[in-house]
Amino acid sequence: MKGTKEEMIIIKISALHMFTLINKIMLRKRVYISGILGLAIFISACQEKIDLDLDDGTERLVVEAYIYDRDTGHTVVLSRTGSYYSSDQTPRITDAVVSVSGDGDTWFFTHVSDGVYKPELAFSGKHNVVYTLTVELDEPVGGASVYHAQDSMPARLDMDSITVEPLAPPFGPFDAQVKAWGQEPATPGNFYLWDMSVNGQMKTDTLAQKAFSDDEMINGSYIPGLPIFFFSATPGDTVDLYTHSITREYYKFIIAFRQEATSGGGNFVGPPANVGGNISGTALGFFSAKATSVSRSVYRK
Amino acid sequence: MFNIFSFFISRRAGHSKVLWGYFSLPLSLCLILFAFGGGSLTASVGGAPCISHPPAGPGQHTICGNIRDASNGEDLLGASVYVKELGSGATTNRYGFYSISLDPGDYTLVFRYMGYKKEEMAISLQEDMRLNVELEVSREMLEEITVSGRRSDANVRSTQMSMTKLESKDIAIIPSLMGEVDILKTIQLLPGVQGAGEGSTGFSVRGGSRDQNLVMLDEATVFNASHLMGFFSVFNNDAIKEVELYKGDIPARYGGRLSSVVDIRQKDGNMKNFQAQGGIGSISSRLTLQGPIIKDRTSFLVAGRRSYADLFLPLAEDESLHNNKLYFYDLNLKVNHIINEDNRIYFSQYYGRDVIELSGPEEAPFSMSWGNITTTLRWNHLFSDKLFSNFTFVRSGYDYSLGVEEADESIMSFNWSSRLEDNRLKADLGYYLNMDNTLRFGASVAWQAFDPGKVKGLSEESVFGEVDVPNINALQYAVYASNEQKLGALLSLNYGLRYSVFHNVGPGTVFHFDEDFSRTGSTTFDKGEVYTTYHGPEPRVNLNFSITRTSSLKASYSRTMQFLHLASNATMGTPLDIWLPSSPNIKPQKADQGAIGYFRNFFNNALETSVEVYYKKMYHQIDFKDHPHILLNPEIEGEMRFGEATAYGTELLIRKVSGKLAGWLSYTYSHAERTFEHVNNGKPYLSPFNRTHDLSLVINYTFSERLLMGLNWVYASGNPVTFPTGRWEYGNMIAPVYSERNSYQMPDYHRMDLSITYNSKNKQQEDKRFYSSWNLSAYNVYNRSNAFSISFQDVEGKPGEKEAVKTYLFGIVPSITYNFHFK
Repeated sequence: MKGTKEEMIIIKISALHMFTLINKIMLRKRVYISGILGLAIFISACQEKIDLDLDDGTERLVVEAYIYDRDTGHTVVLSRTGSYYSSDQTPRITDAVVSVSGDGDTWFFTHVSDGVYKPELAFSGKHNVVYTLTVELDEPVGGASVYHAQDSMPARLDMDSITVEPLAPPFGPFDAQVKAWGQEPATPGNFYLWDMSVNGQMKTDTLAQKAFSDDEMINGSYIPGLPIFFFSATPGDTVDLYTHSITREYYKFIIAFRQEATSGGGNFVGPPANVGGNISGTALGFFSAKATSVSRSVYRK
Repeated sequence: MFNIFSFFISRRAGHSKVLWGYFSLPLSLCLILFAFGGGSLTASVGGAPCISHPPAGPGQHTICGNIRDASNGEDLLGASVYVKELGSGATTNRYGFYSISLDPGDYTLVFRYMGYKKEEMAISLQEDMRLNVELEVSREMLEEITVSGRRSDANVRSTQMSMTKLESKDIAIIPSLMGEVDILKTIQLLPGVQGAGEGSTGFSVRGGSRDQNLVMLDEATVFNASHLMGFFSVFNNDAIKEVELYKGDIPARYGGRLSSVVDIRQKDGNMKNFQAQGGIGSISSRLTLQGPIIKDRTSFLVAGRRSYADLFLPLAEDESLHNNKLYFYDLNLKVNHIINEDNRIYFSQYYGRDVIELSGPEEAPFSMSWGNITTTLRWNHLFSDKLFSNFTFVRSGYDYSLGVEEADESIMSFNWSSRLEDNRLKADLGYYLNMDNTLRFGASVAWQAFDPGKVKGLSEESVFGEVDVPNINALQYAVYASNEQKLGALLSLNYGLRYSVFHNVGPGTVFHFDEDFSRTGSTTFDKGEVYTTYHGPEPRVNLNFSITRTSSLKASYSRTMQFLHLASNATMGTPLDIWLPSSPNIKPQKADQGAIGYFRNFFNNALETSVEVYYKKMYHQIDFKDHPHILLNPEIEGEMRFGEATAYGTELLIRKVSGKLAGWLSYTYSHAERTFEHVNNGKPYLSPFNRTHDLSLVINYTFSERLLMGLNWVYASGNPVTFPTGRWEYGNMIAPVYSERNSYQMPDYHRMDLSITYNSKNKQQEDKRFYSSWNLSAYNVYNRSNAFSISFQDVEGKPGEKEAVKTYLFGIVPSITYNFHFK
């Protein structure tokens, strides 16, 4: 098992997450299991580096794209798949023509740096509108030069308030929790993704650090101070919670991507597989339209 | 000539398909009635003549009885009775019973069982007679070290193919991991059977999935036959009499699984003397007590086994380990009573559990436990000298639970549990019509209840909500009939038909899914409501053509159906395995298998050889979509994908069954692949159990009465695996790009095990009340690091750079076991 130490524990009150959590507990306990086994029955599961030739496969386009219902944050990142063993950054694509269209408008994106594209003109996405991303490449990657993706912008969930409270007893190094209050809409099938910043610094840079949930357990009810993040806080910390509404497809993508990025395969979990996104052709990645609300609170112990 | 096969077919034509399942029950009843009448009765169903046939042969008389071990009264299963004058004979059934019908006259009967002295008996047959025979263990141990206890040319003579029988005493001398003698690992040394992984008790038979094996202990299904994450099986070899493994050509009396049957029988208990047997091993200790309650009438057997690794935990330096628990135990109980010549009852029970309790220095204890309970109650009844019957009630269950429990209200506390239960009534009858025809027929009904899982937080504060996957109930019926028939001196065949019916019975909830496997709605059914019905015939046919006295050609075809499925995409078993019955979304699995084999014995049957070629096509196979959510998912059926699988292969077996040097060499060449519309983009891919070459060498060498040596060598091509071929970046994380499913291969596996057994006292001296033995064994003698899995990790100090790392479980593992016998 690999993976970086996560800064925060994500809490989600749904079956899937419960299992992830149980898994986590069991993984940590595994140390003891193998300890006991080793003590008693001479099992010493050993690891050894081996040389294994991997076929590099065909190069594929990778798209990471977001648009919001606000006029900031829209981003498209274009890259290609890289060699598996290498630690180099995967190759970037800097000369593509990128545009997003929807509701009769089209916005072009220009390359800023390092494969990142930003819109030429400011715009805000509208709820319940289907947006189309178009990427035109100078030369074909993965068998095509034009790629498309579509995502629909969900309605926004505005939280009434958030609080930052002490966590007692602390969970590992985490001594504070961010709780959210608000009315979840009555329509089922809503999906959420949360980011958090402390004193203006984003704490959830990687997808693994973000929190996410479906509305299965909370559909249509008043969210009663749901703990979203645990973290180590200093009194006076200003916390911003970003609540993104996302589509079911993106939610499924996140779950699958996290699974493949943090573990993958083995005799007990079944074969690994590529994460299916919403980009056309052989391309990997996702174009996501998010509706975002921001809530702020200050931690006072 | 009465012919069940044509009888069934003609009946079938007369009824609609749907009704057929229901008609079968009365039909089997009719068969039973017919049998009651000793063959002269004419019964009818629906106005059509049902059965009528002439008596077994005018003026014939029947000899029947049991063949037993003289030292302890244990029934000998598959022992032979040979009529010298006729040059033919019969074998005992799964309860040690035989029956032969002959014209009046003088005969010499030879009773034989491998490893026992043969018994010749001259009889003058003027009337029906009961002849119970007790055979004595052969003293000529050196000549008779057995690998199999069958009639010496049975492998050539019987119609049965694709079957192997092993006795517990043979299994006991095979080197094993940590000295824990293990039936399920021993059968993996046979051709066509592949272990699921290093040291695992899980296995795949002829390219089938792990859940397609019916593992039975005294006729009770054992749903999870493993301890300690699969490293040890739940079967305590001391309590076991023998095991029969069917990997094809499965007799009509067995049903419910596609690929194999592992029929394990417990010892009945010593009818003559009290006897104690036990052992102290590296992993566990065992004690088995058996003896007569009433001599030659009633006996009991109690066997217990417990692992004791955790007993040493308080000695560990790391104090946090002191309160941890990690053990498993098994209890086997059996009582049997011979009421009279015609009636005998058996009661047997198995109870086994694994317990894990772990507490870290600052963490709440995490606990987990799982286990099987089986209860079997059997009644053997002789309706006549020719009609043997066995009625069985079986109850078997499997459950697991895990959780974190804390005294104070903690946000992390939860409890997760799952259970299943199978209750079954079964009637199996054998009608020994004449020397040329043996009929077997019966019926069964099973009620199964599944609780796939529920989890809930234990305190208000708990971060865990409650998830309860709805319970499911199933009702299954089956009837079967078969006839083993000799057609002249050269040809014999066994043909039969099993008909199975499956129902889902409410209360239940069925989710509906659209073409994209998204839930569109659900239907709830009331208690007692039958909401799913599947049924179908399962024909089983084989034939044996004798080429010479020592060689034969066999062929078989069988169809099997399976209504219970393991919801798991892991190749190794875990305690969290969930069994799901068929439902409106899950059609029954179905398989057609054909096999041809050539069997030949050399050196007066001392060397048995066989070659079998098989082809198996499996329908409605289950795999999972990518990134499935299997555990605690009420809509798990939406995660399943269905497709077909094909397996074919050639199996070679050379076996030396007696002499100082005994053992076998088995080689399998095979191929197994699957095609699923929604997996791997619809392209065929190798089954996770595909194994091109698989070779096992098992040798036992007897130096003297006191010193025995065992050696195994296994070689297997690596199993298919999916590896990354590249990587991509998203959300500031890196994920691999994978190859097509199972397009890479794990490294080859090979391993040698050795064992030496030293008997402290001469076992031959009958008067010795106590003897003991030491067993030294070494697993993986040449310390090869066989890859258990291959993963990819960051190179130390170079974040982001990956390297391939193999995990191997066992280097050389030495162990020592002390065994004792006392009587």
